[in-house]
Amino acid sequence: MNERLLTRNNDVPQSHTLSVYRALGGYQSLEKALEMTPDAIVEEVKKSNLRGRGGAGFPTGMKWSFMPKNPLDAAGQPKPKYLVCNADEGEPGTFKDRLLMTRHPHMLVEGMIIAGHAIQANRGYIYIRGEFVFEINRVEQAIEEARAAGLLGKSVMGKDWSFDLVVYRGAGAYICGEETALLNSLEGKRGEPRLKPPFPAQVGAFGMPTCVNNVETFCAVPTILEIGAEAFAKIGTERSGGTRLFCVSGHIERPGVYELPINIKLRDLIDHCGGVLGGRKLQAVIPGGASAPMLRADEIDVAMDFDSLAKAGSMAGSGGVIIIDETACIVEVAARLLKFYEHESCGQCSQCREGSHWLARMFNRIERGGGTEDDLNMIAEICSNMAGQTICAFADAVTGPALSTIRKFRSDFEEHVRLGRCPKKATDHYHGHHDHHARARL
Amino acid sequence: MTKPKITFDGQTFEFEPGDTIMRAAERAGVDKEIPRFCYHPGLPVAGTCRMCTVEVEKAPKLMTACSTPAADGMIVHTQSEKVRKSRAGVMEFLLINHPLDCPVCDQAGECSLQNYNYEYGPGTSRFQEEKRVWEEATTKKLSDRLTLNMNRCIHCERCVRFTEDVSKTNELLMENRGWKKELMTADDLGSFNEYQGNIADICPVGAITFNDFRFKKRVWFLKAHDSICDGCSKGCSIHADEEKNVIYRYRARRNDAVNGHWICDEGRVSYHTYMSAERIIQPLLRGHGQSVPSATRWETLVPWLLQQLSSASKVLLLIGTDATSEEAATLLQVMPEFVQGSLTIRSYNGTSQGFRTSNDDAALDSLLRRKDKTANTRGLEQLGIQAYQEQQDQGFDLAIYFRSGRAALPPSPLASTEVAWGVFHQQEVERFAAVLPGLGTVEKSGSYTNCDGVTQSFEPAVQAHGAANSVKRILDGLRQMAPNVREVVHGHV
Amino acid sequence: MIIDETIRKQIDALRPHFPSEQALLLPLLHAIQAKEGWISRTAMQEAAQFLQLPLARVVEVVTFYTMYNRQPIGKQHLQVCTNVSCFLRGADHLVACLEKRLGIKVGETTPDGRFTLSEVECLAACGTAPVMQVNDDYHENLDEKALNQLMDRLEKEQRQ
Repeated sequence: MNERLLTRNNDVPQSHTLSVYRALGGYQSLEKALEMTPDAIVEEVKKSNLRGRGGAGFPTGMKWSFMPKNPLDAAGQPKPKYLVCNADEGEPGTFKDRLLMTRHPHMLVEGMIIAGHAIQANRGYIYIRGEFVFEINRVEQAIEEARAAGLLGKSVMGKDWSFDLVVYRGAGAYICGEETALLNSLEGKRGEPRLKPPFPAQVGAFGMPTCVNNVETFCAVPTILEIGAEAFAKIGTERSGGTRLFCVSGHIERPGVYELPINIKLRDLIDHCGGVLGGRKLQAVIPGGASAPMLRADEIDVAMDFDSLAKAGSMAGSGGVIIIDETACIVEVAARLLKFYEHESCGQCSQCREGSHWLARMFNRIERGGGTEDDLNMIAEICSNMAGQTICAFADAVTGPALSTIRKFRSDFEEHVRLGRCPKKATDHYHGHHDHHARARL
Repeated sequence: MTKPKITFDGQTFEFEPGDTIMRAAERAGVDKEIPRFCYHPGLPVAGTCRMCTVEVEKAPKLMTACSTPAADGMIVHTQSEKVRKSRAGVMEFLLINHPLDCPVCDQAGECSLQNYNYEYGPGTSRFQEEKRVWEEATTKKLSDRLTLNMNRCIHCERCVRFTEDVSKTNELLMENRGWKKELMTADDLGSFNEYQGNIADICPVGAITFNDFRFKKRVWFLKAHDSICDGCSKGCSIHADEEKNVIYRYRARRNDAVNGHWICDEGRVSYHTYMSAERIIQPLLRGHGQSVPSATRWETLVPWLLQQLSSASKVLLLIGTDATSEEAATLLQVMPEFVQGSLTIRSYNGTSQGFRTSNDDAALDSLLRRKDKTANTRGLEQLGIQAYQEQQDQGFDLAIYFRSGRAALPPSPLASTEVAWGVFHQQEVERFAAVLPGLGTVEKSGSYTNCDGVTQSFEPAVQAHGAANSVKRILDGLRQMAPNVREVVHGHV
Repeated sequence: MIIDETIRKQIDALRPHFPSEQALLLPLLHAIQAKEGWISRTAMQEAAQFLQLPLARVVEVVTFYTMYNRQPIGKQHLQVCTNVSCFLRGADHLVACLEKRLGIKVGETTPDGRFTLSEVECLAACGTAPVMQVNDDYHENLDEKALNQLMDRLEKEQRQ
């Protein structure tokens, strides 16, 4: 249960520096990797059953194997391949990549160099959300150290292969966590998701074959090479290997990042974190970041791996676990989440642009006591007109909180309608919609 | 090599490798079964409105026809339950913030939102929130030629893509993201491109309207006639929309061999030449002691002209390079009959100083606009008509200028007696001894050969106005002379 | 000239890493904002010229991303997260405290130009909620007391 792999050195002072990282065994996996063929590395990662830790949970080895071996352009010249790290960590409830970049930036660097070797790229970009100024500094420092030590540059560890990394700073857009929106942002454009196909492995950054992975995914790679794919796969389930960095927040005694086997039961995870804040009664849990459908207090006997949570009607997502106790108003939580989605929709697709706005307004009105029975009956249908019909999964994500709350906590909604106000508040103190984007024309 | 095949609603068609489902549907002639807002055959694919989704067998989700590559053996359903539900969903989402402007909106009658809502929409509204309202929505000018009503915008962004990829002038952008996306100009009413009317054409709703046409006529009263723009040597295909013999606007007519999907603004508003109140549509003749020609009748003017033609020693007939090839051929053939002295027939362009032949023509931009502001320079060249040359062609006592309306006039008189024949306006006629009102492009049949050598024929869109007459009738009148001059009747072509 | 030698050097250092000029736009805008505090129309025009992009392509980027300020803001930008985890741990109360203390509403700047108050989305520090970012710095585990201490310190720093 206390198997810590990525975070085993969390409390070592200066763990972010090259010298300490090396002293703790860092870059030995890279040394090993450079003696392996690219295909061999991909096989190892496949065997480990590592699945993407950003939220989609796509098998990482398989993703790497999608990269074309020797892509040529129309003139018959070799196309450059790019590796991209998605460090946009924007999913509410998620804060693990921040920890990894702050304390273990070299782990990310090492993981990316190994991945770069596996897909035979020469250049990698680390797209870090704009608010992470401290973390950007840490990662840039690590890159500088790595360059100086010959771990990055024209000849990685003396080998005949060049690889370099550069940090790209985001500018405040949750949608840039979607891999194709990230690529557009990286190209200096609006962070709007792209139509797929073509997929990034064929047409990615700057039109070239690109592989995008999450911070934690890259950070797992040195560990996989260190302990071996089988050992990694042994932890977790048959289809989901390794540990996961769970982010626990909300009404919990000891919030924080906890590295645990990916198939830990939610109930056990909550206990591990000290239980509900102040010993209060649990009301609901969001198990995988804001987009994950809510679970009721009686639904927490579920394993936290991708397949188990999917089977339970929710998702493992980003690993952001948000605990909600009885003092909170579920309708208000839902309204708050929908306001987030309304703000972050890129606005391309009709259903998402208008639907996220509609649901946000409606939930806000219901929360304030202005809702009707008709409103409650409409929600599921509006959601059904949004999910599965847009360019990216954002619209589906919106329906996560909207549908799960109206379905599982209907009586709370009905109380709001019946009373004409929130039953948990004496007066209406909700702030409502603040339009603080510096130019409110509406 | 056999062509790949795709099935739409039970019918199988061939398509070209590389086609999207939408393109294959266009080839098959069934694309009208697939509604769309953001897709336009002349613009890059966006795939954002989500209206064109269709059901593809074996695909887990609905696919946007505009962006999904067609595959050999694909089976597509455009009217299934799932598709209809999706379309109703999109319609509902687009309508919740759309203002009930139909009664005052130009687009009514040719509005995609109206049409699709009628076909696919939910029928009722259940939106209880406040509609999104933009500041200055009802008064904002996008440019000097376009008006924007942002409330009506459905965010298809065709307009932005047009300025990015077609005119490549990059005036338009969407500010912000999500439900607050707002159409803006980059330079705040600075100079805008010469193809703005197309932007109003492609806007599927009444968000962007063309000021020249705004509030002038309800479109269901208009009848569309195929015609050719005579604004320059490109000869773009157009629709001339008229009601009761009055043209209210030109629109682009798709012609992949000439103008694609577009026309320029100058051409778009050139119908005013023919509809203007200043146009001369009655015969004019300068009487003794008069300084300007005044209204007369054909019965008076025809014998006068015949007399002039037969008594002059050196006659110049300038045929404007905007004449149809048929008119020019007829004039070439028949005019010598009436002249006793010498007759010199030359073409005249006058687009600019020294502009004489098609060799002087050039493109003005990378799209359509041409330097030559007349429609048939090459047509007249093909007939062997030489261009007027100032040094050689001199010493005339009678000069007749024939034109359809766009060719320029020689700046100074080329003879002591000058006669205008064709389309002229009040401010031009002071110098003429007589004016024979003729037909403009929209009032006659004929053909023009454009700058690329493409010959296009056209039929009249409207009947002649006033006493304007065709070349044939006038020449017949001249032939039949005094006793039978009554043959030339008012208002007949 | 807003894009001065320092900014040029910064962008020049990045240029070898990117196959397109346009990719340098986000870093360029960050550099401009670090210097000026906001992105003015003039700055956008300069950026467009510098990277040889149409102005429209610059404006649409500046307005897409929340972090680029389109108006000048106060010296200290108080950005309180009010997303779900921070909300559950009392973010609304912190906002109310700040509104009261500063005498402004969310979205506004104090008349003396010292503080701008904003509500922002998840800052990815949910484990230490509630969180406020002041300019570049995260301030975590805030309660009313800690907030007031922080504000006292910020006000003192500004006076010096």
